[in-house]
Amino acid sequence: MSLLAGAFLAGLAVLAVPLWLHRLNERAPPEGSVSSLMLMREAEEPKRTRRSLAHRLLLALRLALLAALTFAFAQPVLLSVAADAGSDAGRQRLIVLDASLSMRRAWPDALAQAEALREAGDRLATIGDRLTMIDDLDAASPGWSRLDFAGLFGRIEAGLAALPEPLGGWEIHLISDFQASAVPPRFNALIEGLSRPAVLHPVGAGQDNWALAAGELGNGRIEATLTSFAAAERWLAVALRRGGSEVQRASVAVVEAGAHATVSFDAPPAERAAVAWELRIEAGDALPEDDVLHIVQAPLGATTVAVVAPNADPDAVRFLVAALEANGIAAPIRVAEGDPWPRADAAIVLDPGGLAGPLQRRVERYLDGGGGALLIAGPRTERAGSLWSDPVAVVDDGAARRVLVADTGHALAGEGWGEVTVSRWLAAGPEAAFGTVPAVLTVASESGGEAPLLTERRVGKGRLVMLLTALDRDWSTLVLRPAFVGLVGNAVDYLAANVPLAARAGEPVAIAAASAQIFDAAGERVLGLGETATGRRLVRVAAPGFYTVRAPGREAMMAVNVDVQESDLTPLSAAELQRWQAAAQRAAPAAALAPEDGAEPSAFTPLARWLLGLAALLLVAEALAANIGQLRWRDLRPAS
Amino acid sequence: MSALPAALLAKLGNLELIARAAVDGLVQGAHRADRPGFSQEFAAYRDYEPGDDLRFVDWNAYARTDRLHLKLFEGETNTRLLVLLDASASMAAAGGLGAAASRLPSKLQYGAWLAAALTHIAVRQHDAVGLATFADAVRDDVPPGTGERRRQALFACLEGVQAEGGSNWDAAFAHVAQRLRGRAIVAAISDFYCQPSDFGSALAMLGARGHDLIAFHVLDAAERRPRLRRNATLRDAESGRVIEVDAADMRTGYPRRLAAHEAALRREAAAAGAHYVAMDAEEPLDRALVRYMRFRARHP
Repeated sequence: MSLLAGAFLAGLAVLAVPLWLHRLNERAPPEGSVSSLMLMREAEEPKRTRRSLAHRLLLALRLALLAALTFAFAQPVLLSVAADAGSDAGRQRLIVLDASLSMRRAWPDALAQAEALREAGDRLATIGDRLTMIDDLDAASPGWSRLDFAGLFGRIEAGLAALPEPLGGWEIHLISDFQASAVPPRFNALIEGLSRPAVLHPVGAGQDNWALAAGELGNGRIEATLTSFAAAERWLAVALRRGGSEVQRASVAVVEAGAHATVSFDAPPAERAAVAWELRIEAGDALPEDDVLHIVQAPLGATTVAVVAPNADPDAVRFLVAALEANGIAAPIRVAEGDPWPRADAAIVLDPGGLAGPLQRRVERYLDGGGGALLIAGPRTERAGSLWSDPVAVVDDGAARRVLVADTGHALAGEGWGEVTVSRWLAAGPEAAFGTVPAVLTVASESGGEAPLLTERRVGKGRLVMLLTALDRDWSTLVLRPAFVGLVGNAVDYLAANVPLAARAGEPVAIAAASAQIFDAAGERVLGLGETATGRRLVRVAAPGFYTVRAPGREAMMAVNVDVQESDLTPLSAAELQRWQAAAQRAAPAAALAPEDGAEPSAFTPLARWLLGLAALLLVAEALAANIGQLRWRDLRPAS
Repeated sequence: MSALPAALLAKLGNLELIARAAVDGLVQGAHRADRPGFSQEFAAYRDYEPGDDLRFVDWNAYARTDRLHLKLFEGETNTRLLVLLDASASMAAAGGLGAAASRLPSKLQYGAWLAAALTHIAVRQHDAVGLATFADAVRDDVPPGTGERRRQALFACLEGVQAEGGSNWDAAFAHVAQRLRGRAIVAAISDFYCQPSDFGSALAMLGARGHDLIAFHVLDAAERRPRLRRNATLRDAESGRVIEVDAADMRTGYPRRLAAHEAALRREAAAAGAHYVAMDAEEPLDRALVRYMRFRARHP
């Protein structure tokens, strides 16, 4: 509100009221003429003087009280330079340190910057996937996970919501290396959720770095991919280790920033137990943590899958078998009419409408007994009977529709769905939806709503996952996209309650097995039963390395690696950083004026709360002064 | 008795009408024994008896009572009345103590009405009447005389009197002593803001010469009952002195001091053989006259 606003000026006019009242009360006693003063007595002088002083004190208090209230309702703000912002009384500064992997090489600089910024009363925190409050800088340490700047301030706000709001609000100081790779494509995502003054403090500089980006197992080999984040060409030696010993070594040239190079090693299939492979480059670069890659090679035949497709489209069967092979399941068990039900960790049913009654009942008994099955729709699915449980109909309006991920936290959500379109799918009647839980994937329907595409429900003790489009190019482009291979692999792991072979440090990973415990390579438990017994069984493992997951009746290995996106140490340019700072100031209404060129970022400090506090104090002082003054005047009055 | 409020008299404006109205009210309301008059010759009434001189029949009484009464007189010598009116500034001051000053007459107005009424009474009885107004010194001096012309001269003098200056009682009483060779009635009208001992000394000087003295002490309602809600700065109308008076003291101490002052004046007047008459400028004039005439009848 401007100080020239009409309401504010009208409020100032209220100051005239006590002035007028006091003038009435304090003005010289009215003068009159009398015949004679012979019989009258003059009033005592000290009494008049004291009253005058007391009245002036009261007047000052009352004027100050009204002025404080008027200014408070005008909501003034104090413009302050960011470097001095912490000295504003009432505002609490929060110094947030970026604790992502890339900050490991800049951590000393970050601590020094925080120490320089820190003043008495400031709070400290680190930010990774969430805000963590810390008491001292000694307690802070960089993590292993990825920090994406999209929604960063929203996560900080969520963390602050659990803390009592300071009188003057929070002022956020973010210390980070501000990796360019962490900036989202949509620039506004940088300031989403920001409602407070924020100042950005960059530390660290761009440094050359090389990383082991990925390692693929297949056909008896391990193919390692190296990525360069340096301008200069360099030869790098790559070592393959197994059980702590180096078994192979190779050299490869990496030529320019952003370029990839691959190197292959022999890796014979594991016969009975899983094998832990470790790839390591000797780069001696800025971030050694991304120079190691952990790979778990599952033993042959570790997971058995029953494929039930007696009358299914042959092309659909071929697509499915290929996807299973890509996921390391080379020999799925085909189940035909009249065959006994095999011992399988998971089942996949193609076009359940083509099943004869006896086979369909065997699938149902398998589910009742606690098995897991993936049903994939087909041309005859409308006759599927009790497997769908609800009347279904084929929706086909000739338009290709996008697939939306409705539940990103689900183990089947996967990646790559943006490339998939669906033109035909099954829809349930209006009285019931597929499944008893919200859909994992949906299709944007013509009406503007969303129709389920991938959903699940419980059948007896088992779990039934249903894909409501067919493995047919007339139905969708799914079979042509990598998302299909991921879906099949994830579905098998999910239904078989398999432990994933790989995960990223600090990111959630679904452990389908109930009541699992996770131990690191040294045998120390890093996650207990309580942390893995949640309904979704999503866990986070902080540090890279090999881990052992122990669940009732099974034990499996899992490799955890860092996110290679952290390996790109190129920071945001000064212009981009200034743009972000300016956008942050515009986004926080109480925060900000855009800084002038070369000037420190500035921020507004709201004064209304302080003024209201001052008004309350003045009110108390006015009451005391008025009452004490009255008592003293009464004491001075001569007894009549 | 039909009282004539001072406010009503003030509306009449004409001094002759005021005097006549006041005296008529006085006559109608008085008992026969309280017949007004300053003449010492009138003695009493008696019933008419055949052979009495019809010139001494009171025909007014006959008209009212339908019976013949004969007036009896003790002597033939006429009485002289000298009215001494204080015209100092203090007689005009009003309102400084919270009174509704605009509606009520000032003490000077009231004193002038009183003087006019006394003059009217004296003229009706063919007594000689004179007037002297004074403040720092004697201002107007109309020597005692009889007849309608003298009455008109006195009324004209009273209508033109202005309140200003201080009070000099010594000069006023010395003038009276010099003016009156024989015995007379001296009616002094004032607010008597003076030391009671000085007031007593002056009265005693005239009393020693055989004059019949009446002291009309006129105060207004505000002076008798001041109403100050808070302290006030007051200016003395005569000396110009200014002080702030305490409202609380005006409610408690001042009435006590005023009562003591009036009591002292009364004692000094009694010591000098004078009548002391306290009057309120808000009191109806005819009622005040009746009250005094009754007092005078009881204290000849």
